[in-house]
Amino acid sequence: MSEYPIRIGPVEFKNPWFAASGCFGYGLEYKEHIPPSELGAVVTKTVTPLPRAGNPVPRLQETASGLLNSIGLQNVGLEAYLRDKLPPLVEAGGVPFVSISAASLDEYARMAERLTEFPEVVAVEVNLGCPNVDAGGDRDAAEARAVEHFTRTVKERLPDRAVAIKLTPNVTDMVPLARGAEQGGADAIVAINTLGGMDIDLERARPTFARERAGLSGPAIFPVALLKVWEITGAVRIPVVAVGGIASEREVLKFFMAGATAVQLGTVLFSKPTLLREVRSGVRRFLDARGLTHPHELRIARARETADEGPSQEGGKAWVPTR
Amino acid sequence: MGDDEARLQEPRSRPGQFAMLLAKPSQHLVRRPMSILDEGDGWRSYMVKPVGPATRELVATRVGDPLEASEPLGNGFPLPEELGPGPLLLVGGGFGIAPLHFLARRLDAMRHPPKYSILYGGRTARDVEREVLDDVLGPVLPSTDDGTLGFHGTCVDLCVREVERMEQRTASAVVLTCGPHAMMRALFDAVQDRVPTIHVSLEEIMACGVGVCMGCVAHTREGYVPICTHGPVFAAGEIFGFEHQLSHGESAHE
Repeated sequence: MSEYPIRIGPVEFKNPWFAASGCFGYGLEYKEHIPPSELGAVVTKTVTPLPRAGNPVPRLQETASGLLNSIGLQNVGLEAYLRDKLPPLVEAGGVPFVSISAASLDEYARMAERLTEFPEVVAVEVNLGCPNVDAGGDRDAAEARAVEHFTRTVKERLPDRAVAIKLTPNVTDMVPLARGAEQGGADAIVAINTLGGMDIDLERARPTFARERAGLSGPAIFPVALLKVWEITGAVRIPVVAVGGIASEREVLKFFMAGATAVQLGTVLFSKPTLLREVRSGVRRFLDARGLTHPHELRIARARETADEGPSQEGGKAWVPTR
Repeated sequence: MGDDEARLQEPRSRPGQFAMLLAKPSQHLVRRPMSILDEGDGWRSYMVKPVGPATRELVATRVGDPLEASEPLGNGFPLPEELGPGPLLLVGGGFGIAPLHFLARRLDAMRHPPKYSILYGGRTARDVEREVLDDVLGPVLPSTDDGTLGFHGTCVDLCVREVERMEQRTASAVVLTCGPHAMMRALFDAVQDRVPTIHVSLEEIMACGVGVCMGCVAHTREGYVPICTHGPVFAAGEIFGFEHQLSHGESAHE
């Protein structure tokens, strides 16, 4: 269904509905609810060069309108992913947007080189924002030059793939990180990863999670994600894929108005794996009622442009409410 | 609590399976995993311990109220036909009695059920909801830590006594247990030398229930595996035989 095609770098996607990394498994776990072929792309569970065991339990804690997690990138590792998980997703008509994480530039280089042998991997999301690991986590990518180097290392090896850089919001300002990714040749920015958070077990009088720090997702983080997306779309020329706190078509519409090119559904899928259908029909109704034909027409004009950059993108046609 | 969506769901569930539940509407985000207590034509029941606001919402629902409910999930206990001639000891600690009740009901429905007893332990008489087991045909042996009901001691102590009474019949004995983690570990330690088959049903905080989020893992010989899809029922040795090699809180990071 190429309802609202979008382009990220060299790749065209049939629609802007993506599943967020970590929330859709390797793409087939929810196939009875949502066949992966209905999504523009499936951003897979992050894979690392070697298998990762992940963190001890507890790994989850619900908060007010949010979910804290400390999974720690448990995954099968790149080779087992390519051998066991990628083929069935492709077979099922899913578009693999493979999320990768590594602890060093060398490791990123090797992962990217290995992926050149798999042309079916049309897109790669570089996860520079995980708060739940030591090496290669958000603290190693909280600075623009580091982001630029990681980005260039992957992109120069995968010039014909869409390379998106997923950034951490756990910094004072995400805009320099986004510019670093753009400088490094990124085809898109993905914003935001989970917000750093923690919980304390009252009975045991100690931090709930073994690593103390965890990542917050869910509706609680939507306003933060919207602001970050708004700031980034005002500062870079490459597409921004918005993720964080989508619970209905309303958040999706707001992300499009803030300038996002595509959206990722995340935590909401755990309790509503079929939300995609509601989002899709809700967005269509909203567009149809206003005589619009594509979500990118929702992008709103800015009264205040960011201080040191001009208007960010030619696609920023103002949408004036009709009533 | 009635589950009106259950009517549409085939096949029927296995004892030891669980469903992800949330009141509808709810103030909460992710559904909570609950063992199935019983099911019949068009309904399914659960026993919910009010440990926090989401479970209190569930407890406040009434028969016929709508629920957010998944289909039955997880592996469940071995099928009654797979359990052999017994004797079976069903050992429940607190709310861990729920899946064992369901199992006993399925055993009662067999043409030639194996011999089984239910051992149901709580701290005090108030923690033992004896009436939950009123519709079960097999013998029920309650225990309380303070002696206010039934056997004076833990259900682990009671299980040891029952195993000793079996003498040579322990060769085909099976222990199936659900309860607090520490209780199940103590039970494994106490009877593993004499009882060849022990299955435990584990509990953990879950978000998806279908192996996607990797939130609810158990540490086994294979590493961390999701309890929702690889369990919640495991051979006890798979869990406790291995866990002893780890000190508490030790991470299994690579």
